[in-house]
Amino acid sequence: MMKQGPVLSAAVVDSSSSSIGLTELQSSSRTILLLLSCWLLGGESVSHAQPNSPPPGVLMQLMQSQLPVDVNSPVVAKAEFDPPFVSVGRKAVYRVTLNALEASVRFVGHIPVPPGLKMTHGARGQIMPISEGMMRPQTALNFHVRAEAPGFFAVPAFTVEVYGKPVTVPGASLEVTPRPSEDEAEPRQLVLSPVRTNVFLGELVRVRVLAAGSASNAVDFLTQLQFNGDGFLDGKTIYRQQIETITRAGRAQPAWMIESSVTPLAAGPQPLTAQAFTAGLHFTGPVVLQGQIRTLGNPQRHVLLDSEPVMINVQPLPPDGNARGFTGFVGKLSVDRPLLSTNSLAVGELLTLRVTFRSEQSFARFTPPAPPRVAAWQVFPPTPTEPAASSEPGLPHAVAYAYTLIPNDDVERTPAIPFCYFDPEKAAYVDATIPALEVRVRGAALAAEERPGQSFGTETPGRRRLVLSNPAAAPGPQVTTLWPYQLQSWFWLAQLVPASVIAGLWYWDRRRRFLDAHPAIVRCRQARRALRRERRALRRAVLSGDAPGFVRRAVAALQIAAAPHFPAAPRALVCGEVLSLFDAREQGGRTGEVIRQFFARELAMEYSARPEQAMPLFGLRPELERILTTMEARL
Amino acid sequence: MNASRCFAMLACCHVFAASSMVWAATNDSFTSGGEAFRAGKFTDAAKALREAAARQPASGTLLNLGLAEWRRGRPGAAIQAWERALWIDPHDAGARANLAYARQLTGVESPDLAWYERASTWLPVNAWAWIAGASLWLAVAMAVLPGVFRWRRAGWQQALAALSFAVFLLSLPAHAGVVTRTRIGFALKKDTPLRLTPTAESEAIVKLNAGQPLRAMRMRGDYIFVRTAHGHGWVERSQFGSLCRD
Repeated sequence: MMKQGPVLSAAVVDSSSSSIGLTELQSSSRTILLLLSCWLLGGESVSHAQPNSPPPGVLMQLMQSQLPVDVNSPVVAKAEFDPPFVSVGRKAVYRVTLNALEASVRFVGHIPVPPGLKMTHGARGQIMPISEGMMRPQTALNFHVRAEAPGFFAVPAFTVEVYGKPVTVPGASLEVTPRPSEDEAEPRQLVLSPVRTNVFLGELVRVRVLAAGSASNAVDFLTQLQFNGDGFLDGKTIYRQQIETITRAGRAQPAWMIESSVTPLAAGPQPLTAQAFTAGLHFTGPVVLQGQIRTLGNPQRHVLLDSEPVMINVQPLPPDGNARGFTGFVGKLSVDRPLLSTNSLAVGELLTLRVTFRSEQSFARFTPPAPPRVAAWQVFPPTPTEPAASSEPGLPHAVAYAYTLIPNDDVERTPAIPFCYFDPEKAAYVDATIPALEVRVRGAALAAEERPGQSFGTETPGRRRLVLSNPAAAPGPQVTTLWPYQLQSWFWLAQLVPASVIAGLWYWDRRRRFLDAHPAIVRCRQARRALRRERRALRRAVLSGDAPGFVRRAVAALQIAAAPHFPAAPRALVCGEVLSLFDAREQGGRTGEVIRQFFARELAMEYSARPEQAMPLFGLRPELERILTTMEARL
Repeated sequence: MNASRCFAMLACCHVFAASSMVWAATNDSFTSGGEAFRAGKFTDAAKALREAAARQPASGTLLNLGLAEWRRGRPGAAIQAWERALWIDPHDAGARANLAYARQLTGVESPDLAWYERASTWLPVNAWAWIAGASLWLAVAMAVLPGVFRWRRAGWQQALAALSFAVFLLSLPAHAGVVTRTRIGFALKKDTPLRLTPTAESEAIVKLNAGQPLRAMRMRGDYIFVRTAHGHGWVERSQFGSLCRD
């Protein structure tokens, strides 16, 4: 950013006391100023960023190679009025000069301005001339003075602090005459003349700075030109410097002219001033000399000159609306047709798109359009590259950027890169979108073009040619699901079926072997089964009134229940054998009697000539059931 | 008795009818997909074949699906379909040739298989299940049944039991291979980011080619921790095409 006038202290007009107060500078930063400053500085950093800073050793060497700065010499202050006498209402410059670093100078009080003299702050600067092998700093402070009444005005000596020590600034006097005289000199100052005073925010403004020669037509060169103003960015670019003839106070006079530029950063009326040191015959860069030039051969004297403020009306940019890709460029611009490194590539290969921008103004802070985000392309941020040869006259400045693109898919065109700029002459945004270009991307697209059955690659001996198969005519082998059976629960449950079958067979075999080894168990089981059958038959006989059947079933049941104990066939058992299963008391009791009755009746029925028709034994059924239950329990 | 018999017949008819409907729908989708493929409508073909494969996965359906996806310029999905076709039928020469073709063209490698996984590719995955089950129970039966049924001990019975048990033991590594191969998947899209952490803002370690084989290790939310030939990392679940899981 540009420097302000008096930075450490500023003179403020106090009409009541006609004295200058030294106050801190109040910087009125505005939001848009900050934003635009960020853009400009960011643009500069993008386009001109030096990726590598010198290593510390190199920096140390550079510092050591510089001449030493003289800060030990006694500080001497000078004060003067330029010119020393003026008429009422005319301007004079009160200039204080010290041989010290600017940063070390600090005002500790007010400059005692005599009443009737109005003093405002002007420029403030530092120059480092080289003398006797040392850089000797020189600081100058300008104050603009106007006298309200004729008289002799003396600014008394006052004290400033330099390097922390008090230094006395000597007094100076100004004689003010009531009316202008013919030999009254003009104060030496710069004339600032911008090419345009009605500009847009961000538009580059060409500015001419003139330093008129002295009364004897001697011209001093200028150095350390700088522009002051809150809302401007100093271009730091000297487009042209020359000595030209100007007309001043009715006579031709040589003048040193420097053409530079500033960029407005804030909207609204913005004051702009310029300042520079005279440099005698020292200058840098090409200089155009015209006409008769007279230069002084005196030892150079560095005098700080400044200009009257010029008001520049800065208009804000209109809303960008549908303007896509605006990166902050304001001016006239031309975009060459973009150039591709190739128009045939494979998926994943690099493609370089070179875009050249041309303009009549510098691209120092130009920000190239951002790479677009598209699905089929991977676009990397642009990098500066060498611009192509100029094809358009009148656009001396050119800058080129290379975009690296990688196709991700089957595409036929490069992505368009949105870009627009603001044309101050048209007061509108101009679309300068970088158009899409046709390319042929191999890879996915080429593979897609391969027909099934076509080959890929070359067939060499020992290497099979790779082909894409024909479509299947039938679905082929099917599965219910792709998830493998062994990871499905039903598969493991299905394994329980053969496991159960084999386990059952094994158990059956084991049981069978056990029963073979224990036939009594089988007999008892068979006897129980037969006994249950006979007892059912008994009940049926009772229900049907079949007395002979009842007796036969009862005897058979008793025999069946007794058979496993002997072992013998049931029908072979007689009454005594059945009774032997009971103890003596039972045999002599009712149990034995019931058993004997059934066996006796069964024998009578079997062998008697006249079968008994009565059914007295039906009444013995409950006792028979009890006996059979007892015998079944013993099985 | 008659009622239960009627119920059994009705159940059989229902199962048969449902199977017939599924088969008919699958066949229709396969046919329509083939027609769309021949007509050059690869998107429609892929859609129909994907439906058919979802209803009834079949090697031919997946082969055609892979061809349609390949023609659509989606090599990741094509490689996944062909790998699935080989999963069902490892002797499918068309799918094998297509995979070799695609991998040579796109430059992606085949899945890195262990020896037991390679063994599991000799037969269809489900064949190993049947072989293992049948051989195990045959061996057990040959060892148990002669004693149960009191057959006379014969050499062939013991030989058959030993052979069956040997087959069962030999199938176990293939079983393990099938199980571990279920973790295999493929990057479906080109430049699939392999992320450092399972978050969308995570740094991408490397970008994977479409069809790049991955091996899922574990899951967390919408991300799967995978192992690739380029290292470990997380990929989005939607960008991971599993070999056997939808």
